[in-house]
Amino acid sequence: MFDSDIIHNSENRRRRYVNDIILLAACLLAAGIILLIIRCAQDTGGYIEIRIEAGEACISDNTSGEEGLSVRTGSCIYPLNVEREVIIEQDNAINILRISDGHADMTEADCPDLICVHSKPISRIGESIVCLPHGVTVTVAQDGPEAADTDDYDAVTW
Amino acid sequence: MDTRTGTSNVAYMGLCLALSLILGYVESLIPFNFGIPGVKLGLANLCVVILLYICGWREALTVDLLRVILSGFLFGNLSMIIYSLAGAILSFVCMTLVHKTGRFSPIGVSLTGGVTHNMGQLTVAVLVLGTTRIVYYVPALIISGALTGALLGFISSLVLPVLNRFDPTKLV
Repeated sequence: MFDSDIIHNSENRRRRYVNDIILLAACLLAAGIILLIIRCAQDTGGYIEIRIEAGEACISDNTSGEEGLSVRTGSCIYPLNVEREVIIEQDNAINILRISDGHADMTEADCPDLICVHSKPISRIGESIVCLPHGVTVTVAQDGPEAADTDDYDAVTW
Repeated sequence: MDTRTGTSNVAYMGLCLALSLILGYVESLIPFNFGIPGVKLGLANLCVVILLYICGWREALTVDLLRVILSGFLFGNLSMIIYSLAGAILSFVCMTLVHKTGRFSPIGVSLTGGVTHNMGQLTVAVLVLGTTRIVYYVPALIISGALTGALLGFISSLVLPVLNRFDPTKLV
């Protein structure tokens, strides 16, 4: 191998690494731009919908002072603008969802992986927190109950 | 001195196929979870990248397809095969093209593979689930694919010079 070859090779190698870094930067930039577009396109939602996969769940909240609302398989809607703590109780399973400042966050749960608790607070339409072991899904929705005067009640179940 | 005969290619292909299956299994044992579905190391891709350099794209493609089908039957199910196959084929095509340009080191090639693998899987997920909501995962999947791909590319760039067969004057 000639010296010129070695020099040529090391130059080539450096150029390849520079290209690699450019490629990595391009990927990160593309991801950033897409993230920005998605962020801008998403609107903050007005309601959250709690869904229970299977079985019976007792959904209650500490603000209304009423007895817990019993829910079978189905969903439950809360507005995001009222501060409250929602307790979702199932057989041997509990999830506590905190709603404040237009965000909903799972603060406590006794599921084994705690992925739902570690999830970030949600506020934008389509965002969701899922607790797979308990079969609980919390999703942000734009529209609440179909009725126009939503101020009359603070929770609807069906 | 190693000659590039068909027999030796077959031996390397068998070795890489076995290794990729083991790596796929080892990966399932590593708790590597960010709470985002689809984010994984993709260790098995290591073999495909290495094979792409030491044999050629035909051999690498064969092993890639066999790996997906075999690991699907061994550890997964049919839907997993479909998802993996979409990612594997797309990433393979892109990796081969990037490799052919000769302007990138294994890091760049593997990085391309990581990103396009995730994109391929996401495309299938959009088609199967019929929802565009999972598009929100695109940035996270691009970043994770790029980083894990670059990491695996770095590993292959360390492994390749050690293999007798690899001609250092050609690439890297």
